[in-house]
Amino acid sequence: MKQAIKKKKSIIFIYWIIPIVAMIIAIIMLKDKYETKGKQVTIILNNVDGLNIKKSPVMFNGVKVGNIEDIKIDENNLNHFKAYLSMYKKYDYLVKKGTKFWKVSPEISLNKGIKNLGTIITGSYIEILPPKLEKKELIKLPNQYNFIALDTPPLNGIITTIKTKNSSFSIGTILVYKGIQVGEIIDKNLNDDYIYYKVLIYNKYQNLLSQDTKFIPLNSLEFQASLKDIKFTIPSLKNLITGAIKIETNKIGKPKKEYSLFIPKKILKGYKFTIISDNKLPSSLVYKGFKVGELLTSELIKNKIYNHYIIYDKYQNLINNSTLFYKLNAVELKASLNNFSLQIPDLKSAVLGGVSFITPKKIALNKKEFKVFESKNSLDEYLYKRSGAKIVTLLTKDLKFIKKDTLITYKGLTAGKVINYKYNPKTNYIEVKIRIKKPFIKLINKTTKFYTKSGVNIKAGLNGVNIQTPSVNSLVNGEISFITKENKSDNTKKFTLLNQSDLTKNNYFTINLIMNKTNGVKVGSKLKYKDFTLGSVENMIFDKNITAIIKINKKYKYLFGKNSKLYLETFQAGLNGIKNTYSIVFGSNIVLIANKNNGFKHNFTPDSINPINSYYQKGLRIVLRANSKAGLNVNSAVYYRKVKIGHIEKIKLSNTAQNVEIFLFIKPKYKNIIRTNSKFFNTGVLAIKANLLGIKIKTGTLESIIKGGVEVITPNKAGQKVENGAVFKLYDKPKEEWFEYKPKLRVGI
Amino acid sequence: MRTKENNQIFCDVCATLQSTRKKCKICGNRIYARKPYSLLKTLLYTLSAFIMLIPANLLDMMSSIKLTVEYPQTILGGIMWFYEEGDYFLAFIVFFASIFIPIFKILALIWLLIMAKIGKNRFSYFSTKLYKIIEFIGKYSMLDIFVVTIMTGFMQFGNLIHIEAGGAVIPFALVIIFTMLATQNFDTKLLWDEK
Repeated sequence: MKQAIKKKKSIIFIYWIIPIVAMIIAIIMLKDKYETKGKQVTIILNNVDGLNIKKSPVMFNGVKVGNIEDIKIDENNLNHFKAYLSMYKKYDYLVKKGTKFWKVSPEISLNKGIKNLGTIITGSYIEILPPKLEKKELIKLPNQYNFIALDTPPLNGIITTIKTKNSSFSIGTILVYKGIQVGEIIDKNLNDDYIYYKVLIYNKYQNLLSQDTKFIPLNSLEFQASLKDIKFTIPSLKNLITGAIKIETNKIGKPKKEYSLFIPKKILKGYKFTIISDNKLPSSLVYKGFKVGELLTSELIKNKIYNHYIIYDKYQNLINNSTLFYKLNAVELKASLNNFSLQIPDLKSAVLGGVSFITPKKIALNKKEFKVFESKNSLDEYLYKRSGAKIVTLLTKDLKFIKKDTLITYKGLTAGKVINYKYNPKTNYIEVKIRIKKPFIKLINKTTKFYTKSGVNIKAGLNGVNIQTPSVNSLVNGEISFITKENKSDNTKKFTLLNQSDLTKNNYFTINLIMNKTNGVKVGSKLKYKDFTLGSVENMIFDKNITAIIKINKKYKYLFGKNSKLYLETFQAGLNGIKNTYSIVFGSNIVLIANKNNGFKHNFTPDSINPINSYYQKGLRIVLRANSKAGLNVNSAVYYRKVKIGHIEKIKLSNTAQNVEIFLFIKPKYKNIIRTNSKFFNTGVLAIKANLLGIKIKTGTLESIIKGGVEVITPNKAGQKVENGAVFKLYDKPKEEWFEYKPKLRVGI
Repeated sequence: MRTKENNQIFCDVCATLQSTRKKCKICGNRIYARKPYSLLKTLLYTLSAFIMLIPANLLDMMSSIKLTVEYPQTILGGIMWFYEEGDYFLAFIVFFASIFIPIFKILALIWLLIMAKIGKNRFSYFSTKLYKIIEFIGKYSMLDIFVVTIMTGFMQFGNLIHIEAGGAVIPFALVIIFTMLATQNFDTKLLWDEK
């Protein structure tokens, strides 16, 4: 007995091991957990949109290094928020003195596009950037537990200072090295008569800073020239105008703390001459957009300004005694409703202007004094008069695309140009002065008819551009053409300007599309029928409603029966996809649903905007009654055994508003599947439901998850075939036994 | 069956009265008047369960990984999540099975240990009922483990969303196992022994 008890006692000690082992395991596990829970840090943020307590992560280069534990309003400044971060123990070393914190959220901006798209789904997070990029060095840094978050991501690079006395650059001006942007000006301030620019050099170009680094200002003209030499993406239009700073370096020596702006001295060689004018002339001498010379000095002698110019050596042969100078004005911008044109001589002279010239003859150069014309216009008129062209006037009520230099063509040949135009308030006409070249003068008589050929008369779509006009110039600028019956010249000086369509008016008829807003329809919008262009909007009248007058060739008149309809294809973007992209550029298309019977309809109102492609297709059309729209959309698919057999054409409230009517279109070949006892149910939603009774995951196709969808099932004992307009109930959920159905149904080919 | 006085022991297997203290003469089953070292074993198992309860509640039960970002959840966090999602029933069930029952069982076992030490008293009847209850609910306490295994099994949609089991699974399972072992090793007869 005693022995037996002794034996058992020794066994019982084994049981003491259990809690001890349990204790050890628990301690190891908890130690692990609390080791991952590292430094607790507080940061102050300006906004906490999209951050979730306990959920939003702290990230470093895409790796989760901590969590947001809590967010509170800062009691010291109620506009700020305090976020309590808990770092993972193993990444503690990332948070040291100088670590930067900022919030990352989805961002849409014009210059940078869409950023951080993923955060729309994951929510915003906090990103950190430690001051050093080596763990060894980081560990040595002192700890810090309270931070102020940055509003924007930190700049990635080193900052240096450039000192200058007079050159002025705006913040954002870029620094280029061999044509590549290596940095930008981030700040400037004035101190002791010097301007100090804070310059950021991007990290990977750090080595450009050395003892001998030179910062050379590039004005916009030089900058542009350097753009031409080196393939280079233009950072922004602003930089083209403000110029840039060029870096030159041999990469010798250590970087300096501060650099001075290096302004190279110019030694000018060239031919010096003087232009006499009434006003001071601009400083640059421009030829075909190139700077070929500059103003040295100017002086006032006897009420005239003597402008002393130099033309650089290599361009000297561009001028001679016959050279005529004219002032190049700042941006010549002319815009009208239909046409828009921008003539910029070059960007610097666009802002400042310049002096340009033409050299008609090749003769010697020894003249020292030149005159200057006030503008190209006055120079042109002087030249026309010298060449003996005929000048006539065209009368029009609408200037349209016409501008100076619009071409006058005859049978495709250039017969002259528009000189200028002015509005005559007495007659309410615009008088367009044109010149006709010598060989064409004999065609201008009282039988001559001038008409405009519009430059916008092009057929364009996403598939390509089909140009109908003879020359690219007239495509862009439009042109005036004329026809004549007699071949002699007379003294008629004034003509009425006609439209090209006026000449062929009788071949067309018009219909009116009456809308309460434009819906993207504009003059030139196409009227399409089965993707074929029948005509286009000729004019738009704005009064109570907007009436678009559509001109159509007479031979299509039979399509516009009493029951025909028009609808608009406007641009649409959404989860359902992007539709009708071309309409952004070319305006909405107007689409005809033709009905050839019953006479002719003249006035239309747009039918429901954007019907589905199937609108004029043949097929089975049935109606579902549902309690709610429940994720379904126009264009959502109809599936039979996960095969798409049709789609939703229209969704509307029933007349009594008790339920929703969903109009389905079933492709003709699947018509046979739908029977009187078919069951319809909503298949769209992705449902993951977990409960104690079981877990159900219901998924449709990816398309149906995004767009929503309807599934149809026909029982084994299939009922009668259905006619158009049959009404069914839409079930929210399918019944289990429906999935067992496998009727034999004939499908068309 | 109180048989201490006349030195006879009831065999659990063949239901006969035996006078021996080692083996049943009829069926060969090991027989004893009271489960050997019952109180000590129960105490040690209860202690182990209590120790394991700490990591089970502090560590993460499961983590959902949405778009590569991990969102870990403790047992209590998971209950809160179900509650926020509107699954009140599920939240209640999981709370009951995973938080209430283990703590209740441990407290009940401590009570039983004290009562067994004291011997027969006015709570003996109540204590026996309590024992019956914790013995019955023991097998349903693994619910949270089932929820985690099923969730990790089903929710595998790659980078979109997937669920992983967390570190709390093992200590939680151990809590349940230890409480069950403690219950098993407890001898209710001790509650009725007069001392």
